[in-house]
Amino acid sequence: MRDRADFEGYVAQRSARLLRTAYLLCRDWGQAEDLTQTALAKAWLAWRRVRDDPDPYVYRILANTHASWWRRRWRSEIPTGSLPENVLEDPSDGFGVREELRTALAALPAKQRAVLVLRYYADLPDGQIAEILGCSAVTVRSQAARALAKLRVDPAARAAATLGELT
Amino acid sequence: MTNIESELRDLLRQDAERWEGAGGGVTVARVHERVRGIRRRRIGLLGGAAGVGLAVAATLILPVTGVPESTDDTWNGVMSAASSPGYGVASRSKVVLDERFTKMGERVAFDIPRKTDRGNATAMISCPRGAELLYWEDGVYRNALSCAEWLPGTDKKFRGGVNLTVRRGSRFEVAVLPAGSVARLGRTLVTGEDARRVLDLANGGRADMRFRVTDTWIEPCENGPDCTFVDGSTPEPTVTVTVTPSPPKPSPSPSVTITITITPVHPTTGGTGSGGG
Repeated sequence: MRDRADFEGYVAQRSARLLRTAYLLCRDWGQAEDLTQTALAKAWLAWRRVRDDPDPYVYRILANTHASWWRRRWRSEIPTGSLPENVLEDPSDGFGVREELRTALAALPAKQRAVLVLRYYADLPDGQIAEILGCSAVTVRSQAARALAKLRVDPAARAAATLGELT
Repeated sequence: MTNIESELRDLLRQDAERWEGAGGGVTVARVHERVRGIRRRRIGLLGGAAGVGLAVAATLILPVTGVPESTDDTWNGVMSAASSPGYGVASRSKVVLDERFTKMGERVAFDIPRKTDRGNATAMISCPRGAELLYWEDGVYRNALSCAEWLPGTDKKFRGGVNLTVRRGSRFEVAVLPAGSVARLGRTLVTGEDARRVLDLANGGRADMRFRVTDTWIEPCENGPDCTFVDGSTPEPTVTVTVTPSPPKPSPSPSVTITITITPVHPTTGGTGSGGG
């Protein structure tokens, strides 16, 4: 009973933030809810083992489940009712630039995106990110550097950064 | 921090705040529904694997040994038994840290001791009702809460305070702020940077506050005032029945002798009885 109360307290406290993290990983609110519920359900099944510090476990499931979904989706077509619109590439248009940065971010491989989300949104130190993603802190740093380099060479991301300097 | 990093941080925060709430969010009920689904799938997989295992075993064994001939005097059945009360458990707790503090509007640190490795370490923070509380674990911002939590088992009234599960051996920091401090940020408080900004904007103050950490764990038990059984009732004595068939006799109308041994296992009912039939 105590375990259940603890778990329910954890869900009440953390689900909103986990949902937002999941959204940043997959960019789809419906899928983010699915991911978060799956991660929390698995955490409950392992609650006796992880209850002292469930966050790393839950983040790990979020990242791994998303990576496996992403690999599956990558190989399949996504039906859509309308053709996607091209975003204007005018660097003076702040919204458009940000939209491009968003697109560049979404195009990153799942692991690199997870590193950026955990580092810049969840504010986790590299050591903890390494624990979550099952790699070394050096790998986390190199993945982050590669991802940031990709965003920097992306014309839109570079324009966004330049715009940030001007404002 | 480079521009691209700060732009990225802004973008992620902005995107995360755009929750559409289309699916209704994540609730405990939905999570438990998902748990049931996972369990069903696991049982299905287990059943499938067991089926395959049995089929393989049958293929390997049956041709060698052959099918045993059925005997007429074999009786298979399941005897009804008194329902078991389950196991008894007692909840134990011990206060491992109890400190008072008075400063509002700034981070106050507590080192959570690692006295036991059993069960949960729970922190109860008593703070002025309606005040706001931010907390960090090992320097990482975790959450913002209101000091107005329902505390079950107290006097059934709202009291100022929050309950949190904490990690042993960690450094836990809390900042208690006057009501309305988080709203001064002007947007949703999400990141550690937001939390720092809220602290900068908040007023200071003083109040009598307390940070208390309790280790709570469960121990198996058989009796005693704290011992409760899973169904909450006083258990009935459970009996173990052993049936021993007599050796087969060549008479035309065979009789079978069985011995029943009854062993009460509940500690309050001593003695062992036996009978024959």
